[in-house]
Amino acid sequence: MQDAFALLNLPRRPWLDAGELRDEFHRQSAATHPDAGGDSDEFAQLNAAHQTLREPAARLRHLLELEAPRLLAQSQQIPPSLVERFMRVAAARQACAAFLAKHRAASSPLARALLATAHTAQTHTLDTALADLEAAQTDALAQLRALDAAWQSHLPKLATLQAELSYLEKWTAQLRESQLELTLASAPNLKSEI
Amino acid sequence: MIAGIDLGTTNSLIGVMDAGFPVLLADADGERLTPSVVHFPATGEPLVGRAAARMRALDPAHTVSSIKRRIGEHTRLHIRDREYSPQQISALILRKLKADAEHALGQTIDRAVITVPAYFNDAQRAATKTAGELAGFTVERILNEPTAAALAYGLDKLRDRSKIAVYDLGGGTFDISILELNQGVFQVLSTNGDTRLGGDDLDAALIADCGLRIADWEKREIAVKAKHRLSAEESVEIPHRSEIYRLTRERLEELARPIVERTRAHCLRALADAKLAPGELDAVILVGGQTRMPLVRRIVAEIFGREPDTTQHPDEAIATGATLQAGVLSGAVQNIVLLDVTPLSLGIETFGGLMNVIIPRNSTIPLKAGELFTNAVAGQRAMLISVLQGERELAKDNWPLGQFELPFDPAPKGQARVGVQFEIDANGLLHVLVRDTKTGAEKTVKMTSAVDVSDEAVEKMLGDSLEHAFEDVNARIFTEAKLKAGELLPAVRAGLEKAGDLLAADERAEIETRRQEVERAIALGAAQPLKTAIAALDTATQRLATLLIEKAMREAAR
Repeated sequence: MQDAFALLNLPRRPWLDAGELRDEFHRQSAATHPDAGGDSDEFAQLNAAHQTLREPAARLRHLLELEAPRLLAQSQQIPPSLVERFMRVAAARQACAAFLAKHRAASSPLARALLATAHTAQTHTLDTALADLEAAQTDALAQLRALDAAWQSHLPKLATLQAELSYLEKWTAQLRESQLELTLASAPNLKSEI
Repeated sequence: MIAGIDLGTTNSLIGVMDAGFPVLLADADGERLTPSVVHFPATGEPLVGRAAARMRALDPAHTVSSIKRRIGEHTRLHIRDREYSPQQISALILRKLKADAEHALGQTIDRAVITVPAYFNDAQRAATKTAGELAGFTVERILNEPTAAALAYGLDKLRDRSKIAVYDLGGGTFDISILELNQGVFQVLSTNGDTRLGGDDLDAALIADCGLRIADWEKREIAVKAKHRLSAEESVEIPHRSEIYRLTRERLEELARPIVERTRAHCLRALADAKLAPGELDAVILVGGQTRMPLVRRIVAEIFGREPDTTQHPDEAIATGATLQAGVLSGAVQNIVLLDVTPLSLGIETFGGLMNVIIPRNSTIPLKAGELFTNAVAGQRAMLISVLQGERELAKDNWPLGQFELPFDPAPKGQARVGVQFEIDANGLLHVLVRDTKTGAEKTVKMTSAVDVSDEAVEKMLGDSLEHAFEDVNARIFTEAKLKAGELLPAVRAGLEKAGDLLAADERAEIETRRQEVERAIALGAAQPLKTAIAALDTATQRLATLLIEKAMREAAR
């Protein structure tokens, strides 16, 4: 396994500044990209390292792989608050999928107009669920940042945060996708007629 | 010297670097735009470009346009007792560009960068590369069109860490790419699009709408002329033979809106994948001939919440960018690197017919991803792997790239292991490598194309569907219409209950009349009258639909 931190000239840390990471990736790309006379294998490694470090969950996972692989192998206790959140996310997604199925089946403008009230309600439910997830993510990232200076003495806590962040990232992406589909189902043709 | 080529659906261009600047080359007539049209005369060599475009009107049966829409397909065009693949037709266009450029420069050019829509899949890219090779080029790079346009735009305009979107609506394809520029690196953050959405679709709608009693190709000629003029004028009248073709901008926009609206979903998805809000963009660049249309500019402004940047030449920006990239590859342009992405997820088919993603869409290329395969039963000698591209969950809904067989050494269950490396190069082309477990040496695997159905089989499939089409076309229309009525009638009832009191008495009476007509048509069992009656009821309830939405919005605001 390659050490992604070393490849990008960064210290092994759970917290990284996104702009700093990108600057370093671009600086090295300008030198190692095959178009700039670099080696394609070398660039592929750099590319993979950047990919690994970009999102907090994958970055933490990599850090733990390097520092404490044993902790990653242990199954993580999922905190009850996360389970509750999952139930809410699942319910919001299910309701949204059911609404979208109904919307797709509605082929006449009138049938779609009848769904307008439900559309607003769905949007509200999704927005609330997303805001809740984002708050949880901000909270987890704040904890991560607080641990950053003395991270080596908090490895089990890092493993818990890793598990939590990977769930949160996944659910956020799923809800964003539902939100996008809901936005697209808002009948722009009718809007322009009002 | 490396040439930069924009091989477009409607027009193509070629350029080279000259003393540090990109220069697009003109043909013998002094024109930089070469229509992507090929005409096959009864005798002699095929005509390409303007000469062929003139023949489109006189001899449409032997003239090919918009071949880019077919590239990557395993089809053959029958023209004058000969068969041509889309690659061969494209090669004829490229050969003409090559000859014109060589004539203008007085030297041979045998290396090229050729642009493709960012959303082209592996097969479409590979076919474009083949076309370049058939025309006598060494293809140094297959470059994405919006990325090329960004290069042309951003070289001197952008400061570090700025982010732009390139909205590229051409004759046949639509792309949206979001890029970040930083320290000379142009990194594509996300891309999305539709390889079958463009000005051609609008032309088809105009032809269908044209009431003149003339041939389709004549309708196309005057409709395209009218479309172009309506970018500046409010209405046009074009005399044609004894008739007059009239088109207003209002009608044009009415026909164009549903087509242009289809770009919205792609833009929102690209923004979501780049994890950006529209407000975080520094500019939205328009390229592609169709973006001259005022309606397109309005819809783009609405999607991104800002006025788009129209400083780029809609027809020339992509060729200019391709020429700059040719300069990067030849060393004439320094300190610039393009980091592009793969537009579609790459995966393999797993048990149960699902797609297992190995490389997600919008991953930066060139890249490599390894996957380890193990035998499922003891002594299994080989495993068939199907490689797919696309975003759908079910394998069958994605684009099949091909299959290959993975050999196993005889071993107990789960003990035989073979590593497979999926590699996407800077052209966006896939290479599959299998690692020999004993020697550790990597070997490129040749995939058998999954779409390589024999022509005979395709013709049979076509024949079958045509027969079926004629056999029950009326029954099918009636069934579909009846389904629609089954949905519309209860919707009318519910709509009237909710907001009927907001309608005038004559509006309610009109809806009632139309409703009874639909019911009569169902009882009658005839397809066409039912379709007409439904359309009339749809129209009659339009205001009711608007009122319902307004009501919902008012309730939401409370």
